[in-house]
Amino acid sequence: MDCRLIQGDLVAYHFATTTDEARERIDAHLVACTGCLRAYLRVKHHIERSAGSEGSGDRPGDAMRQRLRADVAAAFRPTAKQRVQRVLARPIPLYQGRGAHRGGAPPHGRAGSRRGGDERRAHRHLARERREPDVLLTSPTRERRHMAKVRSSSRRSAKVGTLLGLVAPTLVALAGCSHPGDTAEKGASSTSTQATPSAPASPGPVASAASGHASGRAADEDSDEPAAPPAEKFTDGPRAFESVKKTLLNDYYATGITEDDVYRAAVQGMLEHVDPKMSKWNKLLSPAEVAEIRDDLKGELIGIGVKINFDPSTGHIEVQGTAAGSPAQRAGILQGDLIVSVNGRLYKGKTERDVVADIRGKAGEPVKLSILREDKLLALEVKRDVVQMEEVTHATFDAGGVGYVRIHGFSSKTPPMLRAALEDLASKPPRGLVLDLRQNKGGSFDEAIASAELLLPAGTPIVRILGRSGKEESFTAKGQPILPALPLVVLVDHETSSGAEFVTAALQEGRRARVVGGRTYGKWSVQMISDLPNGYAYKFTSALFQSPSGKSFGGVGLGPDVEVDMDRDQVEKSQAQSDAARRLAMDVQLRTAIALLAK
Amino acid sequence: VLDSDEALYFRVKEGDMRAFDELYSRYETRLFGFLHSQLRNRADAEDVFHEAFMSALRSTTVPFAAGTTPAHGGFRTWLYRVARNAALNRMRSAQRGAKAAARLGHAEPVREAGADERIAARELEHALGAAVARLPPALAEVFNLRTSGLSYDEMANVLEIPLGTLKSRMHQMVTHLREDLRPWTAG
Repeated sequence: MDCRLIQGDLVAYHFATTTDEARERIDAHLVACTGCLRAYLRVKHHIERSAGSEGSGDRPGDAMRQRLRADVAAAFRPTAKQRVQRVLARPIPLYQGRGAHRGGAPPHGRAGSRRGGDERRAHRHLARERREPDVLLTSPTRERRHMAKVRSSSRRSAKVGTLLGLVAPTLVALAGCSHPGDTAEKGASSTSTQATPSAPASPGPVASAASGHASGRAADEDSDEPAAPPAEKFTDGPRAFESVKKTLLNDYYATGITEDDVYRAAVQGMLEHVDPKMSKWNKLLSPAEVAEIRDDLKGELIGIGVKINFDPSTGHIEVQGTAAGSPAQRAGILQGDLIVSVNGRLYKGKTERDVVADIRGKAGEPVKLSILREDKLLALEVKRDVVQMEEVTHATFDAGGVGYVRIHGFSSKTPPMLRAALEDLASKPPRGLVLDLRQNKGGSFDEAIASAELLLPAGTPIVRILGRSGKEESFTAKGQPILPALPLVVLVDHETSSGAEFVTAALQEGRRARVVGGRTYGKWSVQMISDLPNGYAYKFTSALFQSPSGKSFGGVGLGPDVEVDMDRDQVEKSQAQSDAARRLAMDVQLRTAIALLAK
Repeated sequence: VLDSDEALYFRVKEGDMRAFDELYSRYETRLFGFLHSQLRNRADAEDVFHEAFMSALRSTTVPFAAGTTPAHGGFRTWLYRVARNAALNRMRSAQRGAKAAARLGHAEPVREAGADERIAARELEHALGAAVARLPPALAEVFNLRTSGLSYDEMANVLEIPLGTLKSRMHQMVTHLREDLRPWTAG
């Protein structure tokens, strides 16, 4: 092609205004013709160096820059409040763990309610991924049946999910609770040590109920579930182990890995990867986590009783609510307060777990809080105390015609609180009862059984446990139920899991209860916790459970008799609503339940 | 991760001078270069640069929301638009009289055809400069915006014209340059 024609097009070529065809022609020519290539480079160079182009290096003089800077500084001088806010706005890594939230904090506005939808969704996703099973344990002291060696220390994931999920974590400040889901990122720090129910002498395994999340939707949702192990045999294990260990200790790029680290990681890996479908429930627990689980099972915490929301995008610690009668409530802490510092410590670059660890402590010791309320900074000193978890709440609807009982989770506080609630309702018997198990993620196996016994006539089967190689065990109600003949509707949702699921199935089969809401989570397995001599413990799946008629909904979830959709936000908001009329307006599942009872 | 221009903008408005320094450094060459070539006067360009920055920062109506990063440079195109309007005002007042005409048109066309390569480089500079100087203002503006690094979409946003119109101006601009440079390139 003629060089003249090409050169005439070089400017257009540079600005990409040629046709594709011409462009290709020029491309081809420039590759072949050095003269035109040089000409093109000159054109390009010159255009790029022309005044006004980025490459020209032409910039305002320094005096002008100083003048502009001074003008901007004068025009936008931050106020004192803005300066505080700027400090608060610096990002702090999100604490993903559970918090003390479960400590009976009243269902004040759900945490995270101010957060944007995307973030909330992301959190929910996280919650699902990390959700911890209920640890349903049978208690050794009770020596329930053959599970004598099984100790009950159940950990309730219910709250965890809430924490993790919606809410960035919400906590009632107390001793740390463990959230097996993210062991690694949580620094240990449980301060409230209470006598744990376990006798250290014989670290017998402890049972907890985790659900077989083997398949189905659970698996679909949990994208982080490990893949199936390779089909090839892994032979000569001990030698392979030694060899990898040696390499990590001697040749790994980063120093500082100790033999202890290697063993800990190996045990973690062993538990989490040995059975992919149970990877979520088989876990190594740090001593702090073990302590948390045990405190959790007792249904009480030592702290100030504040439910918080640690916003990852701003680092603010927002008060979501205070537990009834808690030190925080007595000190006048309000929903919406922002906790800026605890004992003078700021939480920039820290986790929610750090916050919780600092707020919790020994009963009777004070904790100093700086609180930003509106634009005022308040200094408060609050004495830590035992905070009772509110496991059961009750009310009546329909002019007293319908009793309503909500079970938040199953700890040792649950059966007595449930009994009190039912007795209160029985003093003026309603014509029907609604049992709200939405957002209830289970808890202690024993306490779930004991709670079911308050609702089922003696002799009614509750649940069947299937252990290793077909070992089977059934549990039957043998207590004194209250109002056992009342028509019953059970409310469930996608968060209803483990213990709450088998209680639902037991009521459905043994009391002809109707189930309303959304499909349950589908965790139908039992875990046990076994202590290790070094203070750690581990949780492993020891059995699956079934409804009395032999149904299992592991990985699938129990479908309601009447399916009524509500998303999690709506459920939590309505559960937090104390005004009956407003509550009913918000809660279509509850309205449906009441309508069913009216028939 | 770099903060977006938009994020910096809002931080400056809260008095964060570090954000100002960053934002300034992102625009000191590109925006100033654009203004300088439009106005052809350094002092004017500095004044307009100052004016544009301050009025963008003082503005109470901002065409993008905090926390967003618009696809076609929300802050960037807005700042250019503000700066361009300021420059146009300045030119209008300055152009009363013959100055404008002088500015916009009387560079000598370069006719030395067939020069050999060593001198061609220097000549090209003159030739291009002269050719750009002879462009009609609307086309010169397109040239200056493009060379300051804006995309077609951004340019259309700054000039508040449809993308099609912008493309046609680009084409005209190139055609003009090409005609003007023919004596040189044809060599």
